[in-house]
Amino acid sequence: MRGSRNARISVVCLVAFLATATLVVARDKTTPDEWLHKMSSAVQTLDYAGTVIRSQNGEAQPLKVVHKIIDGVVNERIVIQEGNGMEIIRVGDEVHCILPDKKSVLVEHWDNASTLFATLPGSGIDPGAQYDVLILERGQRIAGRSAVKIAIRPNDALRFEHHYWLDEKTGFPLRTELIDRNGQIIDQLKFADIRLDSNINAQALAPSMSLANFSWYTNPGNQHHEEIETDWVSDSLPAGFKMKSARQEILSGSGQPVTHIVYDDGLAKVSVFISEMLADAIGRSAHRGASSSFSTEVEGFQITAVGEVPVETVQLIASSMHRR
Amino acid sequence: MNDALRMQISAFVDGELPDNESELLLRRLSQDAELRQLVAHYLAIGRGIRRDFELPHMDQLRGRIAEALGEEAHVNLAPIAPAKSRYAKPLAGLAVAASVAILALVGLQQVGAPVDPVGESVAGTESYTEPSVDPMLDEMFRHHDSSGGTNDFLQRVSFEDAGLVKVEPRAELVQPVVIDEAVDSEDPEDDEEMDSQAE
Repeated sequence: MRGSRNARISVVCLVAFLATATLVVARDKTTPDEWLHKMSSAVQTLDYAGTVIRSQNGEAQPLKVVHKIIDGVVNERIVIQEGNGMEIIRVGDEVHCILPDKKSVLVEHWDNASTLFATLPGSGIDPGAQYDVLILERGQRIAGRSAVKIAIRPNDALRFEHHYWLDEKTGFPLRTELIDRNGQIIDQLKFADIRLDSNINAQALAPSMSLANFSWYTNPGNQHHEEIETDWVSDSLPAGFKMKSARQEILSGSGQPVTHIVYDDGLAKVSVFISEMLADAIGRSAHRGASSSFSTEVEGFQITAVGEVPVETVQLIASSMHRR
Repeated sequence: MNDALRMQISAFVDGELPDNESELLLRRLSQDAELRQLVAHYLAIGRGIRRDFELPHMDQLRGRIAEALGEEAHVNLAPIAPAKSRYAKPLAGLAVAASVAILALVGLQQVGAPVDPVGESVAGTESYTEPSVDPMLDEMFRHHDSSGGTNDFLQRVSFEDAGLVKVEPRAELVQPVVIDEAVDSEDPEDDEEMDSQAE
């Protein structure tokens, strides 16, 4: 009798163990592609507050970030903790950049969905084609939370590699890195602490100081743009790049109109600017942060390509532009 | 270059631009050779009209420009040899930019009587080594960033843009707000609640 009871207990324990193991295995079967979707959803839907360290060109910049979705609209406050102490207040597309030491506020309009994560992979990425998506590591701790490390690795030398450490529970990116072809980190964003929390105080989204004596500015030129159909094309785009948009824009300082075409491979974006000849920068490349540019002359126009890609890529795209 | 900017430079040369706007303009000057050339024109025109007398605040103005340009711009502060005819160069400037002269005249009417003779080094005729930055290219980088091309959102923000115009403050945002905590609750269980919602 007693032996029978022990046997029953053993069976129950075995079943419980197998059920748990099955759940763990099922949980571990989240594919890299599913992780990317989870990340994209988390960035668009979760509220969060925390401290972010941005590193670029060997310089680290600590930021305090509060992000809350209110009635489907992104509300954000980002405060730079060093230097000029600039505060960025964002409500939807409207952005107020507050510079305390200059007593100035700059009003801008940004049309990206996320301030911190503007270049997350979109639905246009095709795993196995231009990029491979891999799970590199599990269980690493970032900002006190367990994370899974995902790599998006290019299959050619014309793009950079991206690493994401995603919160295992929510898929939220706790750390991101952009890696060049030499394996060097050229851009990093990392949460030192974070609260993924629905109880964020709405007051935390307001400026921390009185703006009563501040001067307010805007740049009308930055808001002037119209969608156009352009006859400028490239026959030698790197595989996977497609035209995303074409606009007529004004370079505000000079009042110079330019045609701005954006190409996108689902992750990297390259802007091509077509203008009258502006400067003696023809044939030159330049770098700003993780972005590169190259300018050339085609059919009497200045063509400048800019993107977070190797300089060879912007050179290839700029040089391949021509009129249809 | 728009009229608002020309007026701003005119006011700056006349010492009548508010401090915060002067700071913005000085930062812009440090990166924009064309703007510096325009300031030089204004000063040259002013000297021509004023028969080569310096503006009363010239020393201060020269110092602020040099300070703004800093080491990066490598300002050449060496004295410029005076022209054979002290009127020839400014008057040539007048001929080239008659419309600018009108602006300068308006400005100069508001400046007091000249007190100092011309120095050998005048800010308006100093020569500068071109800074390495290209304002047009900077603007293209900013337009690229604004279209979601990079995570570097700080690169998008520029208080040095010549196209800036003043706007009315947003009334609802000018009052002070004291924030102690970003979140209402420090209860760690909130995270668990949020996590379960997210899952």
